[in-house]
Amino acid sequence: MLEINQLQKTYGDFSLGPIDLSVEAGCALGLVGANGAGKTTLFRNLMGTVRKEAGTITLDEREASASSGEWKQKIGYVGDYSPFFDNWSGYKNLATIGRFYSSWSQEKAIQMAVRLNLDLSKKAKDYSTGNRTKLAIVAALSHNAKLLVLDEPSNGLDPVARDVFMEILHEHLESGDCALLYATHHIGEIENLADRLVFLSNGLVVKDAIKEDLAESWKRITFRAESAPENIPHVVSRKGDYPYHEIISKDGIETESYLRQHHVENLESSRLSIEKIAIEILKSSSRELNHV
Amino acid sequence: MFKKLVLTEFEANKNILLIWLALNLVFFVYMTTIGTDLPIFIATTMMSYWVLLIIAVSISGNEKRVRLLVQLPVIPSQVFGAGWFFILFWLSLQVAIWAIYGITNSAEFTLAHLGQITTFACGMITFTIIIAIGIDLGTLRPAYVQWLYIFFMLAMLGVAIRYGIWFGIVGNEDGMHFYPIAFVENLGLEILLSFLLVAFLLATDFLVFRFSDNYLN
Repeated sequence: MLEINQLQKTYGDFSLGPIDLSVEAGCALGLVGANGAGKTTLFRNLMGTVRKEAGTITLDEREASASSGEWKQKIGYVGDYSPFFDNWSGYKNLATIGRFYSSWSQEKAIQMAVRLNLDLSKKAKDYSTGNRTKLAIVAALSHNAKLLVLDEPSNGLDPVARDVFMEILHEHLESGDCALLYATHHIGEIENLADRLVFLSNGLVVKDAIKEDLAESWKRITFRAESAPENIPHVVSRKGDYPYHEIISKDGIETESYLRQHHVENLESSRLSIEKIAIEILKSSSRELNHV
Repeated sequence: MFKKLVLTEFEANKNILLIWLALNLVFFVYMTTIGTDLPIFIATTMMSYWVLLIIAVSISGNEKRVRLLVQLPVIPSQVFGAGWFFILFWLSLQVAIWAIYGITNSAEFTLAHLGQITTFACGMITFTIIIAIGIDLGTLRPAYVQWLYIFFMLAMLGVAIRYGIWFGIVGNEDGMHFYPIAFVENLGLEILLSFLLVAFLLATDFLVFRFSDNYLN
């Protein structure tokens, strides 16, 4: 559905890419990265709101072009900032946005606003940050988008609204012909939603993996050893009070097998939460970059 | 999509458009019924005020509008075009109203007067675009490009002062002219140069806009 090839963009000292990314219909992809990792820049390039310096973006075999914005008909976008016509009501803002989409449903928009407890009769300038985000969410999801591009979309949402929003997202993805790109640095938000995670650090993709594979392979391993073996494979971090050791491995099976061969005692392993894995991946990529 | 963008621009400025129309009507009716000839300096002040009001209203909130609109299924150049189309269309309406006023109230009103009003409006828009370019340049890297531009514009001003050509509106019994075209004797050439200057500056602003990514910075 979405193909990004060799995408590059530079802003002063920051450089994004080259990025290669492909997303199939039905895929819910979580884009994870620290602040300034390049998530927003990637999305802005995707939306054509900034000029890419190199590379191509193709959506449903149609290249994102500088000469027409029609390809954006299929994208629902919530940016890091939600601009609206401040003197207009939420309702009028939606009606205006809707006229640009051929498959816009004002009825759907109103229903969604009700579910999110958003008063559409109020002027946009009277909305709180959370309510502006809700309006952006409604605008992004009311035109039958095939690709949702959401940049920190739950910023400012209260817990109830966040819950309803996740419910709406699940419903939207149920059809299976829609793909999701969800950028966040709070991995817990998408733990139940994403089936694939892409980690971005310093403008580069440092890891692209299926969520279940990550959960299967990453392990916390504890053992007892008077002299701990050297060069344990796949170890990401290591701590413990001698003679007890605790390590985090990105390939738990191989690491366990290696430790067994070295006859360590009390060998135990457990799964890590996706959030913990994400933190470890981002920390190790940051360490590698600093090392370089 | 361009039509929809223009329609959105009109809707965004609907209230001020209505006030503008009402005030124009009041002015029109007052001048027609009272039948007073306005001294040139009052006419100049009023015309300048109208034009500046139109431009100021059109530009206010423009950045936010652009930031919203570029997220829709349009391209930034369409958003840019629609914004300027709206300003130019509104200005041309104002010129048309002045022309109608002139035709209905003065037997001496000629095509030459219409030409002068047009060049006057072009002159005001020229200033506006020069300022818009300066603002858009502020988002280009490196930042000193904006300061170079300001320096260049001030140098132009210095040259104009040095050679006794003052920026602004020149009003006399022949009508109103606007520098830099006021020195041209031929009115036809003056109109042509006014349009060319506006077109050139708009093209420049467009290039700066496209290269600056300013709609999101």
